[in-house]
Amino acid sequence: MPAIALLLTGFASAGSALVTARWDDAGVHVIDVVEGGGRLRPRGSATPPDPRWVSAPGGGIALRREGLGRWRVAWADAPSSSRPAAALGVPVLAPIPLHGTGPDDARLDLVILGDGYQEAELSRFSDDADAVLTALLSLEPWARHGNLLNVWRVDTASTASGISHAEFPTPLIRETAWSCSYGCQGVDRLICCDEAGMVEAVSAQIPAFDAILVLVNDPAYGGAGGFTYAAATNGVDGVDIAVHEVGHALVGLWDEYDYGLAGTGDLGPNCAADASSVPWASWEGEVGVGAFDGCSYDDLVRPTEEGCIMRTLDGDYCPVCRQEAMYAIFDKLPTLVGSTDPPIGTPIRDKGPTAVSLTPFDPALPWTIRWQVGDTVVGEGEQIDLACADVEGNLSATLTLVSEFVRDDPYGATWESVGAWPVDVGPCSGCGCSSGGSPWLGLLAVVGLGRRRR
Amino acid sequence: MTVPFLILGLFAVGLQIAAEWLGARAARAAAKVASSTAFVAVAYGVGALGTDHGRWLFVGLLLSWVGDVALLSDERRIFLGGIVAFLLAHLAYAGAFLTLGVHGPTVGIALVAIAPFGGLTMLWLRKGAGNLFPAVAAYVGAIEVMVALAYGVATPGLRPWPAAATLFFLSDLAVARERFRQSAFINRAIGLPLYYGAQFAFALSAGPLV
Repeated sequence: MPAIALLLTGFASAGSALVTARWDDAGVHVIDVVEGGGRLRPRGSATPPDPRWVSAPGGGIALRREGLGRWRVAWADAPSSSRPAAALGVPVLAPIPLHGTGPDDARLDLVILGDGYQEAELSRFSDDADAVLTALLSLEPWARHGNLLNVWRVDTASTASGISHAEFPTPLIRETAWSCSYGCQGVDRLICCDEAGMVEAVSAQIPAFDAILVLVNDPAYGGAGGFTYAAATNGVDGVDIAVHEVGHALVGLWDEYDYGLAGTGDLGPNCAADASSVPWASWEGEVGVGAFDGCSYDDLVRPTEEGCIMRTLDGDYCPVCRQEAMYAIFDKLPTLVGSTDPPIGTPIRDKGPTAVSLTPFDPALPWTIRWQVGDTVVGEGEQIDLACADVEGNLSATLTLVSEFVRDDPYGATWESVGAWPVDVGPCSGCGCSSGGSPWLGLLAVVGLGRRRR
Repeated sequence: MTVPFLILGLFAVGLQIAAEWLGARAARAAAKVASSTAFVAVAYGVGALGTDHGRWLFVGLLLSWVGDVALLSDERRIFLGGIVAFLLAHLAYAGAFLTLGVHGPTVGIALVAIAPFGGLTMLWLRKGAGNLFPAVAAYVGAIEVMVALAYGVATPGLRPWPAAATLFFLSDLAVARERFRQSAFINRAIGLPLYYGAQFAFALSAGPLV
């Protein structure tokens, strides 16, 4: 069986998905999610944008073939490698946290590797990694939500300084840690590295990593951005290239410039085929947002004419790309809920606490919390008190992040429905008179009162 | 669903009054059905079927819908059927208030206070009602009980039921004047907003009491 790498997101709970995969000589070419469970998030007909490549079989992932090119993937929990890395001949890495805020299975994890740095040059690699991190965290939404991002640096010395150049008339081959080389696929500035080796080594240490960025110690202009790893030179514009490529690897964005080729039929989150029906319709009307010709391919359209970092290196994220980054950041969280009181499932009855509260995982962020019994909205806010509410059904809450970076969220990355609490609360009177039960008893009481008065 | 139906219903009430003024019978009928359907939809939208008192109110609103349609007819038997439907609606509303819990002494005081108005109303209508008078008298008695119970509801918080029940009572006086005393546009111009104001208030209060 070929070494399949699967792009999956949302391992918060057990689930499974049916995927189809097509291979080419370079490995997995396209994976389509045919049918998914849990919070698995397919994106178009191509690969999801914030992938977690998981070598399979192994770890918490079970893989079963279901016909030609069809695979059933099941996971019991966040994937982890159950195999000692050394046993596989995989280099044992020592990730250094550069920017860490939480466990790797609950944060978006970017791992920065270096290639072509000799032992004596590792301090430069450290500086280069810091520069990329600083640049990344200066852009929204990373600036605001940097506390949901883990960034790791892995120091791995290469034998040679600089990387290979396959594009030279006489190819220059250098022995480096991750075998990176310019001239990949016949494109001078395209850098490719040993993807399988990097994924294997990194996943052994940071099982839930989301993307790898390889900084290459070579002044030649170049980079690459796939859905697993990105690469960038440490030469001129290297930091901007790295931030652009991270947009591919961590968020799944497509290039908004044009390769001069016709598309393959696949669509990216920021590239659409039909200008009259773009997935970013909710952003139309925003200054500069529309549908402009050329987005990776000739026959696709992009959201902004100029200024997006996925098109020009000196840009910022356009609103559509920023929203995609928000999806990536929040989709990695197992839940948006910090706590509930009482716990979910606790019956809410007349004789007992009738107040229910919900605290988001980060109360400092702006949220809306809407409470419903069945389909009926019964209140908003962090707490609801159903005393005397005369209501029966299941109470649930929908927690939604309020952010100018998100206009719509069909994936549920920035909102979550929570529940249910079974509710059966009657009305109550403040005077201890006839209340609840049969109304006919109350009627008799009134009639009796009238008789006494007569 | 609630807000659109509320807006639609209030708009249809306006159309109804305009149709009354213009004497456009078909438009009046269509607007009435639309208005009355809207208060039923509003009650459903706020979750009337998920609460004990809401189910009673919902039944009352459905019966009112039947009464509204029946009262469009000039046919005496159908009109009588409409009165019966409204009478049952008042009983359903009374059931809702009893479900919520009522304060007996308050109900008693309200009954005593309302009774003279009921008596005067019956005297006022006796001649015009003719052989429909027994039905009219029963109806007046039922609405008096409903109004008194609305005042007696003991559920905490500011609730719309006393005001809604009073509006309903006053709107019925306008209907009675129209049918049994003197037909005039002013009866409808005053009665329709009172009636629909009451019904939409009942509908909006049919959901969970939070």
